[in-house]
Amino acid sequence: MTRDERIRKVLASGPADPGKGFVLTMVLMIALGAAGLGLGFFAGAANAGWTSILTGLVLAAGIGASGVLISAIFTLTNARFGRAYVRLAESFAGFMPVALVLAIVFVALGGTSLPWAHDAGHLTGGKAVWLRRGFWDLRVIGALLLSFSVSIAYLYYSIRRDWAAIPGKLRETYSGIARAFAGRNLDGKDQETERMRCAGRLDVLAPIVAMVYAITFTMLGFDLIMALDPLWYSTLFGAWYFIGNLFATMALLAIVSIVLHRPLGLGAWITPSHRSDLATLLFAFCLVNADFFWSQYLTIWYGNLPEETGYVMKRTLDGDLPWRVVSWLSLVAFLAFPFILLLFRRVKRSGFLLSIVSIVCISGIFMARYIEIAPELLGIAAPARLDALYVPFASALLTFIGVLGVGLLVSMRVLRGMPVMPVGDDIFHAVHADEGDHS
Amino acid sequence: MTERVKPDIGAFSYREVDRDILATLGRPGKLYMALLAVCLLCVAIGAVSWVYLVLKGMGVTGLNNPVGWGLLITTFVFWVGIGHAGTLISAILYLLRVSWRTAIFRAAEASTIFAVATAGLFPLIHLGRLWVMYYIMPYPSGRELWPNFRSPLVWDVLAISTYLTVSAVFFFVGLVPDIAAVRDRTPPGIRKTLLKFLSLGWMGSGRQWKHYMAAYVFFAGLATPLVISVHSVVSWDFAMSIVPGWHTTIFAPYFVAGAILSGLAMVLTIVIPLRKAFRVEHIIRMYHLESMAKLLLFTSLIVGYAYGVEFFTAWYSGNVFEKAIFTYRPTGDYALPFWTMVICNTIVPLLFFIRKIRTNLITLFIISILVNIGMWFERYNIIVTSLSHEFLPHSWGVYRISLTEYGILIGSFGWFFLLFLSFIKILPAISVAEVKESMGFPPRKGGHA
Amino acid sequence: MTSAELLGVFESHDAFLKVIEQAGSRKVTIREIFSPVPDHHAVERLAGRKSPIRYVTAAGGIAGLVAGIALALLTARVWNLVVGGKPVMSIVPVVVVGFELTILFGALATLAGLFFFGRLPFVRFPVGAYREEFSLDRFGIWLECEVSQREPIERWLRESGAVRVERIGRPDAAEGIS
Repeated sequence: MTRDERIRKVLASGPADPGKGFVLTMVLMIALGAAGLGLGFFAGAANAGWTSILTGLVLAAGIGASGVLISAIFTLTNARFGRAYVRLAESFAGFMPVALVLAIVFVALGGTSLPWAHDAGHLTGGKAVWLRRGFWDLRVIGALLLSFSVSIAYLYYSIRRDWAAIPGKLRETYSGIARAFAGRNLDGKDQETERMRCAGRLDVLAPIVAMVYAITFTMLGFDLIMALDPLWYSTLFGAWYFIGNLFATMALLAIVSIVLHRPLGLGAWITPSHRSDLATLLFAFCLVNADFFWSQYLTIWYGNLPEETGYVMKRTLDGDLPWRVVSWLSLVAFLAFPFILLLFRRVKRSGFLLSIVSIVCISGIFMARYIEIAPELLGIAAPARLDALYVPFASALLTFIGVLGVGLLVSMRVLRGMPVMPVGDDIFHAVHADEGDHS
Repeated sequence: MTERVKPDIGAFSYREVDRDILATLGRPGKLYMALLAVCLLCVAIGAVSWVYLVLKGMGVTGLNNPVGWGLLITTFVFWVGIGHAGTLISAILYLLRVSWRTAIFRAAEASTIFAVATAGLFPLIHLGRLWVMYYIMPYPSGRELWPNFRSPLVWDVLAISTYLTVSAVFFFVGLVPDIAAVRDRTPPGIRKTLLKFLSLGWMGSGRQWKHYMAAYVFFAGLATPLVISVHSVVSWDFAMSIVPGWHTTIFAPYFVAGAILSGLAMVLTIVIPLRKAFRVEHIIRMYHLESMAKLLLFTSLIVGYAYGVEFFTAWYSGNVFEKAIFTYRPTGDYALPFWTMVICNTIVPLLFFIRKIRTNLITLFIISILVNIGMWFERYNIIVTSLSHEFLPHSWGVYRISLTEYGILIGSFGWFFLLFLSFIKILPAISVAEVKESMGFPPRKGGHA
Repeated sequence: MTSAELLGVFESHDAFLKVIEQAGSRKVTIREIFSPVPDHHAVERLAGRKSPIRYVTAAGGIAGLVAGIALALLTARVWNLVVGGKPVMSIVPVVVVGFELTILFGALATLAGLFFFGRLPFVRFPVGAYREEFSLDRFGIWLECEVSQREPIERWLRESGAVRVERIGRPDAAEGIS
């Protein structure tokens, strides 16, 4: 198959259409999310609604930025595998507007729920400056905007590179935001020159995306999660937050590529062996995530310093509080379960089993974020039993499901305006030429 | 001096590659002998210093209260770190199917083993009475004493010895097909018989390759978490305590990144002269060196990130001890080591963002040496400053390195390069079988086998 | 049955693979193949079953995990002394010991598996069909067929691109490597 034939084959299935069933499911998920929010604000413990919004926010922001980051990582490493997943990962940029809206809502209205907001006078050291409300608000919104604008710049060149690889007439069938955004003014230009220019820009932007991601998400992790307990600090926390994002995004990528395999026409490009590669990558991220978890936990356990250990004991040991169940469940879901199952080749190659594992991984990361946020925000005082947590937890879970619904709907809208495979990418063509273009 | 050649070795034939790699085993030249003599001299200096230390006791070092860990432990951590690039390149990049590893992984693996073997000496030297070193091994003794497995120092013994064993196995298994290639090019004689023995009767048969390829993936799969655990465990030697500047959660990932940074720098330092001396520039290409430079830049950014986060947290936390140590490091008695570390590890590597610099042999070589120096000082900075400046002012004190310790440091470099120099003349420092594999199967265009 | 043994020496990898593939439809058995490089294509076509080494590795790893945890916990019990404020039988430090031994035992088991299944060290080296060029740049196929079939098979090998076809002498017929 020549390069041109391959491009035509990608475009033959037309603009991405996830199908009615998918849209309906997403709408249902959004309805659940709305119900969850309602539950949080009107039926839960104090601040249960804001807890749900903050949890949804940190996850949506993470997924939105990580999708593009994954693409940038493939560019940086010239990796030969995973090329067929690049575009799908990039489409998760659809989570960015969702995160931004949630952030604005939280900063504007939910700030009063922040535990340190009321008695900032108690704060010592740099915190007295760092956690001043105005500064904090500015940082949260600024970090999101910075990270997203760099990601969108990257996305622009990545999509434009594809449009530049596609002959003029074939572009016409596509419409949508991404097409209007990155496919402009190609007529009359030398497309190959334009494609090479975009590829050059991507080489420059990829490391910038990665660096900006590391810095902004470290800051977001500190500000949105760690600082909720202003006495506690951990140097690894930023890295622990962003590695969790990457892990969850990888799992979401696996699910979406499996569920939408047929509607998006991925069959020609993603074979069971590619799926197995993605599962291996998921396994690797599971291990790195576990490594970071362990490095943090072990150090705190050994040091046994009151300012550090209290945070962990409250969440894992304290029998008078309901948190420990969530903590241990989360550990099983993001580590034990995927670790054991992903050792098996059968799981890695089977769409059904892999999507189950991926769902468990995402719920593990959800619970990890929840257990970092909720104990500080919710007004649950000891002694409290597990049933005190039912309503707030359900609210947060449903809200997260709703966030996923909105995010995926927007992502699929984004995907409509671009080819589902990176047809302007030389490595994509090289890989598929070497593999002999199966089926 | 800049050369931009695509990683296309297809213009050569298997026969030529075989010839060029095996030519590296030829009769050594004058320069080689001179280097060998220098190494031997360094080893002698080290040996004399060690003997002196054993005879006189630990008093001949600069160690005293409050600094009980000084140059010896610094150098231990330094060499363990050097030993990380080899496994990274040979195992992790193998699993990720990164093509540029083939030409350099053998040299990197060898440097791993020799570095770990060098590192392993230091805890023994630091013991002073090294004849009781077996106390640390778990064996049923008449004293009914067992090592305390809750101590990170005992983990270290396990981790380092496991690492040495597994990398040696990985290394040897990788060598077997190449030893067979050397064997088949060697005229009958004692050398050939010896090689026959070492090659385990390797014939490249279907059965042998089948199990070999399967085993190789597992070795790589096991070595990957191992390499990460080793430097994590080394970092925990410090982080498990409550000493300010040591007890911090980021230590494990930060040490691993630092180890890879220093290891890559050392591999570059070794490989750049090696390819020139052996005239294998067509096999170890600028492309390989540039890829390593990029990876080095990446790990340097991680290390810079860790430095930054540590300072930020010290400021943010409001913990007076943290704040004190992080003010002491850049401004106190050890400001020079501190700034050497910062400049060499985080600022100088930024130059690799410029393509001209990372594709120039001279700048590559100079920067790799600077990073080596910077990484030694990083460990020095972490270990010594924290002990010098613990909680209470009455227990502060400054450490000065003694002449004996310098002697041992010099000896360790001599020992490492002595092992490496011997290796490259005994066995092929570039993998014959894998370079051939990376070329694609014959017949290829331009090949004239 | 009187059988004959032939060795086809190939320069082209494609021709080598094609002969392996077509061998099934001819009256020949492939006794062994030789290759200078790790060759997934040939091995996949020849040997259907995956290497069983993975089970050995897994068994070694599990044994190591159990051994490590047992070693750390049981020795702690022998010397029942609280050190550094940590409980004598604590789980957290044991994880590290278990982890290191998992890797160690797993790797050693893999090595043992490689030696066992790959029949290494191969003491009867070299077998009669081995040629030193197989570690350089030639691929070899060692075939067995009926004596009556020998000439057509030789012709087939040559036509398929073998640069040389050799008859392996009788003394080797008794030896086998697989």
